[in-house]
Amino acid sequence: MKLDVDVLRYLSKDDFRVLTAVELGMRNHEIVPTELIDRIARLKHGGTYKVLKNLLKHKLLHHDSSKYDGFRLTYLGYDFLAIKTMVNKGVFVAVGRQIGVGKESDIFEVAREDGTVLAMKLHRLGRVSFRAVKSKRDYLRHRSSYNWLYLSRLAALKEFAFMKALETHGFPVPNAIESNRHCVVMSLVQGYPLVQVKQLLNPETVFEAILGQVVRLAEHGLIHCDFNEFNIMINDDEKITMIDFPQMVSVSHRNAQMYFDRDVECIFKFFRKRFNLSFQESIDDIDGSDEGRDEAGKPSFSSIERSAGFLDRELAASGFTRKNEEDIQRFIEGGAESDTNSDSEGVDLVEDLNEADTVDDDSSHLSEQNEGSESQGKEEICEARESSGSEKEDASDNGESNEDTLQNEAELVKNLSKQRRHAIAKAHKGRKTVAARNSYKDKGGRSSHNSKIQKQLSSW
Amino acid sequence: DSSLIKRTCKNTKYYNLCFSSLKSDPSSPNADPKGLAVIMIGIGMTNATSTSSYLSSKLLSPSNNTTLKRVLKECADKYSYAGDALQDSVQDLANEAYDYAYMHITAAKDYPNACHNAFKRYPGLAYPRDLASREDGLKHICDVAMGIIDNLDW
Repeated sequence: MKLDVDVLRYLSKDDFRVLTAVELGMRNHEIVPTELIDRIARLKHGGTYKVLKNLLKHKLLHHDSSKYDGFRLTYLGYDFLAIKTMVNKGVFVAVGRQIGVGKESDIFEVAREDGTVLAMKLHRLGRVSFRAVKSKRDYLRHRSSYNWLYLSRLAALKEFAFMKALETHGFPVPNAIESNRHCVVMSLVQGYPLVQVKQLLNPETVFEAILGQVVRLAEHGLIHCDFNEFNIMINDDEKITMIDFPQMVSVSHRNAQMYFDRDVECIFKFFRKRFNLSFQESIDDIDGSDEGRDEAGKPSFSSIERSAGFLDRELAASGFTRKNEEDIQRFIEGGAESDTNSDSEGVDLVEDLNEADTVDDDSSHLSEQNEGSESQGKEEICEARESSGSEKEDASDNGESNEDTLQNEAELVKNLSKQRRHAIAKAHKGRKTVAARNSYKDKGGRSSHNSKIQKQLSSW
Repeated sequence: DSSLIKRTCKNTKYYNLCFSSLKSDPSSPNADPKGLAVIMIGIGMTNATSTSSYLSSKLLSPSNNTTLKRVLKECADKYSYAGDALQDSVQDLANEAYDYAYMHITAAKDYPNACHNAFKRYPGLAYPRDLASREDGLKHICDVAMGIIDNLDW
């Protein structure tokens, strides 16, 4: 999608007041009644209706009068609210070109006043979900119980909180600078996604560094859950940076082992296919580095406690609560599962996601609204499928051709088991960390605001 | 600093209310414009909470009929929500989320309307004069707070 921020300079304070009113109204209404918008925005002399027309013209709002006369924000409208807030705070002064399109996010360059270039990530949870629902005609009348505004804000909140916490613990992640609504601003990572790299000077070293981060994350009680060549950046010095954090989970998650194994296997497959790494040699190297870490890097009990303190403080400061995690996890896992299941199972999963009915018109409007985004998401999905398809073909070819490959497979399984046991043993040492994090209580962060806002709006 | 208070109040709807309220607060001499907004919102919270308590106390009167009691309860809740909204506004100011702060005060200002409308639903119930003056009081305080926030840099 095109992000034309020139429109920003033509929008008045009243325009943003009405946008904010619609945003708040959407916490309890899919379509916000026009009368409610007017009461919240409180413009003079019927000014609200004039502003609503202007915002419609610029495609910042969507109008719907099928059940009652009302409006809702478009993605662009939500983008403008977040961007204006960031600009007002002086986080950046200009928005540049788009540099990334994910399944559920768009990434743009932004410039500071001093010319520094940063990355701005706009989360768009629900994009893929709309596509999934659209492909199942009989389920058009269902929708997610959480709207895309809430989920996108949660994703940004989580990404910012986790990025900050990981940065504090010395992980190679972008520098988290600011977040507002569904927007996260971070340092621009120099380099390329690993998926675009055809040659490495030292593939074994890079491989070891990447696996080292997977294990170290687990030592800190976290699993990335999407640790693949698309989410690892590498620069000219072959230093790596991890990106993309909304899907991370705790090692205490019920599917933690599956996610961990999937991350590890993804890396093994990629390096074997792209850089022809032999696992015999790699295993020896890994053994060496494991022993090194065992001898030199075992954290003491007090270190673990400090680590827990840091993570809890960072997460609390960002207002990312346990309930937030549960809400976003329910959505992400639902989406992920439906992606990997057959059609009939997918239908069940989509149905499970939907707790409230709405008329077809609303669904079709939402689908229309996200048509552009859907095509982008679809392209991304196709690419991923092609990749996994070729991987399967390679695997079966190797299996058919010779016994040496079978031996390598066995070594792979053995190595994975060793890595798993190692990571889990380390994670158990940090059990207090996990317990402390899980026992975190809401201390009046943003989520308590949200529940109060919902109470207020519901009472109108 | 009286001049900052005067300058700030000049941009609000009710200058006299603004000046006298801020002037009488002991922390206002050291406050910046945002701090003045927080002081004004605090006054609004006290006002809303006080009205909510006042309405709750009326519920205890044995002479009130069932309908009046129900409406008084609803009004007590509405003014309590107004207090909550103003509390949220203080938090938003602390987070420099001035747009949310403004909206929460708008919400606080609308709750008295909801109370008034509850009385209108029953022709037999007269809207108490003292409640009408409390309604105006809270609304004016909210207008002053909104005027101060409107002139913060956002």
